[in-house]
Amino acid sequence: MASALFNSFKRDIMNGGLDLDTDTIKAQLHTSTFAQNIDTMTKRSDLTNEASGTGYTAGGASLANKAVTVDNTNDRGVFDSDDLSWSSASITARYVVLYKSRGGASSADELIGSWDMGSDIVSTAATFAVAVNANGWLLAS
Amino acid sequence: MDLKSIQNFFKRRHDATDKEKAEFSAQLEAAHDNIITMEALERDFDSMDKAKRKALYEKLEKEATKYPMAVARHDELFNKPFLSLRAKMEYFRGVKRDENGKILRSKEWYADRKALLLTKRADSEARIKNIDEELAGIAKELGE
Repeated sequence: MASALFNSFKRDIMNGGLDLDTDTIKAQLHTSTFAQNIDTMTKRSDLTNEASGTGYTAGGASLANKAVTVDNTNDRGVFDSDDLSWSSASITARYVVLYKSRGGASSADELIGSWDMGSDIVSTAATFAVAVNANGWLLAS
Repeated sequence: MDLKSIQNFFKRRHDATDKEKAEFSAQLEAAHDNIITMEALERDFDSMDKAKRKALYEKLEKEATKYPMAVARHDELFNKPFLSLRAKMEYFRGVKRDENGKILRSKEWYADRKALLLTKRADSEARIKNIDEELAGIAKELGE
């Protein structure tokens, strides 16, 4: 399954419902059985098959150092952050889903997109880290 | 040489013969030669016009298509080839990270960020005013 942005995110970013560099944006890990539906999934409560394991807390982790910048070489806007890591973790996951966290019920948290890491990534009592792509999390061109 | 070949080698490195290790090392060096070095990039970047920068970036991006959108890692060796390429690509948009993937900030960045946040704050206040006005109009329409 390819990486993709949820359709509700495309609306939210246009109507100001989401501000990528000032809102709390979190990353949640999912297993290979997660089936993304960009039409029907709009809130975190719509997601299934979240990963679990030692060192991982449901809901995932917040992105640090979020940045929305301009790339004048390639005529793009870019959303980026620090890499993510879960230390001393025993986790198996294939997908990363980003969402806006409102700090309460998952039914209030707006979805952004999901990223396919290509295959199951496994950590056993080790650091599980996600390195952000060289083009950032997402770009607008 | 792609990432899968590197992963496969590391999985079975303890069983590899000396000949296989030498062949792997040669392949790795050859692959490295095909990637523009960071030093050359830093030296030449300022003198490039936009078209040249774009062409070079496209070359790097082609190389990067071997990697998924985000790569999870738990093995230092696994990640190094990716980080090296990423550092080169991020150079084009002024991003620098430390060895843990944390983005490094300059004083100029903090000054720009402060200005942006102040603007956002003012915008938010203006939005609240507009929202209150619209809500008042809606209340009137609803007879509330």
